[in-house]
Amino acid sequence: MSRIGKGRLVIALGIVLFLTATVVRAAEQKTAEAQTTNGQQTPAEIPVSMVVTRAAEVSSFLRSLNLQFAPSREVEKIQKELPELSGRMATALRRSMKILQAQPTLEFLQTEEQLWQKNQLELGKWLSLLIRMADRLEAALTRLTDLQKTWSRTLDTARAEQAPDTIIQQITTVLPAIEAAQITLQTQHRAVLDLQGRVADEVAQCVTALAEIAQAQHAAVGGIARRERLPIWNTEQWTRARAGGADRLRAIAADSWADIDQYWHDPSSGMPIHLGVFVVLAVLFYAMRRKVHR
Amino acid sequence: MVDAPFSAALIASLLCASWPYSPAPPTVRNLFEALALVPIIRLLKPTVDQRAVFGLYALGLLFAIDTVRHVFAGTTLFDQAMVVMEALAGMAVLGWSLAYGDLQQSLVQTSGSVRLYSLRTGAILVLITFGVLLVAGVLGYMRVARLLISAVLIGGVLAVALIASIRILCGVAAYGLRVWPLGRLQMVSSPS
Repeated sequence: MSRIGKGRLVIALGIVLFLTATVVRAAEQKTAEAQTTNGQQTPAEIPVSMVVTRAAEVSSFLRSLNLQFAPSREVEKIQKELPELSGRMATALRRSMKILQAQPTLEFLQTEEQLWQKNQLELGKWLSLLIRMADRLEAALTRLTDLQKTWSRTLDTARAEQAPDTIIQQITTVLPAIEAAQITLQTQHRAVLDLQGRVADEVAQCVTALAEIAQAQHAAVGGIARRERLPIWNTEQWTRARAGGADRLRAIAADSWADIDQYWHDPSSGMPIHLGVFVVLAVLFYAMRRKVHR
Repeated sequence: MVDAPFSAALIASLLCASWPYSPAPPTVRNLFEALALVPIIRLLKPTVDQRAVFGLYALGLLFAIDTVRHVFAGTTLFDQAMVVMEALAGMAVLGWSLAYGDLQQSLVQTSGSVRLYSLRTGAILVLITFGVLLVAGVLGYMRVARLLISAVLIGGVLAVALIASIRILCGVAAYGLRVWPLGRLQMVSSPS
């Protein structure tokens, strides 16, 4: 009994401590946010005596920004590969939708699902990379805006206080450098956002395809004993097949040929790897045969 | 595997190219699946019972036809007609084999082989499945028909591909145990 009582006391104390900690943390967070907001609203000007030191710091910061946001190989890769991938995915989506209308087998649906999940995974990686990049650019731009405000106010103050010409000249050198960096980063930010939007569109296509496949899977499992077509001797069905069948066959044949053509001409479809695997294994197995026969 | 190195290499590369995560387009993957049966049959032919070779060819041909059906699945009536045709062809092959071929009852009884008896029973079961498939296809119950045809043909092809893969792996393992570094374990010795 006393053990239960002690236990309750410990639990009650724990709850009180947890609530206190939560309240204190929330209050700290609010204070920090308020400080940040105030800081953003009024960036303080730099004392004239500190202008030279801070100007050196600014140019070092701008150099670091240049290095940090130098053209990224990953982004360039996305820019290069996205149009081709978009084209391939549009063809694949068209083909998938056509096949889904024909109520394919569960095995086929599973293969399609795996294909689209793979596409979604790859595009998801690209998207998160671009989101991280855009966030970093945004943070850098905010910092540059703050710097620009600070140095503008410093210039006003220096002029008002009739500071030496060298100081004013120093400030007027820093300000255009900040503005140039802002322009460069804004251009990059816009390009990244544009790319991000295009990748997000492709991800949305994957989501659509996966939703359609899931629906087809549900329908395929749900109504397995349901009659889906008319009996084969039905004349109406034959008339319909004669009317549009040939065109449809031609369209599907053209799609299939496009797939083969893509495999033949596009190295990303894996033909060089498959050919390489075959050559390596053939040489290996042939060497094994020679050794065994010897 | 040692007697048909190119077939073994072709099987491994075609199966690798047609697996679901391959970057190859779906039509190419389906084509490779069907093509892989050619070297598989070539590799297995000398090692299986000669009475089963005709069955392997029939399976290969039906699977190739089914691949074409898959590609043109969206066409009205084509799918249904192909399913009916595949069922009829399968029934014809199995029926001939059971009535006049190596699986006829008198031959099985004379041989007294348990293996042949099991093979005949299996063939009868597949024949019944093809019969159900034919009725379902003719009446328009395409979901049942597609499920049954996938079960029979894909199941058969997977079994054959698995046997071929095991043979290749066994060949590679046997060779690997004869050469350095595994050869130093002296787990395999040449017959004197």
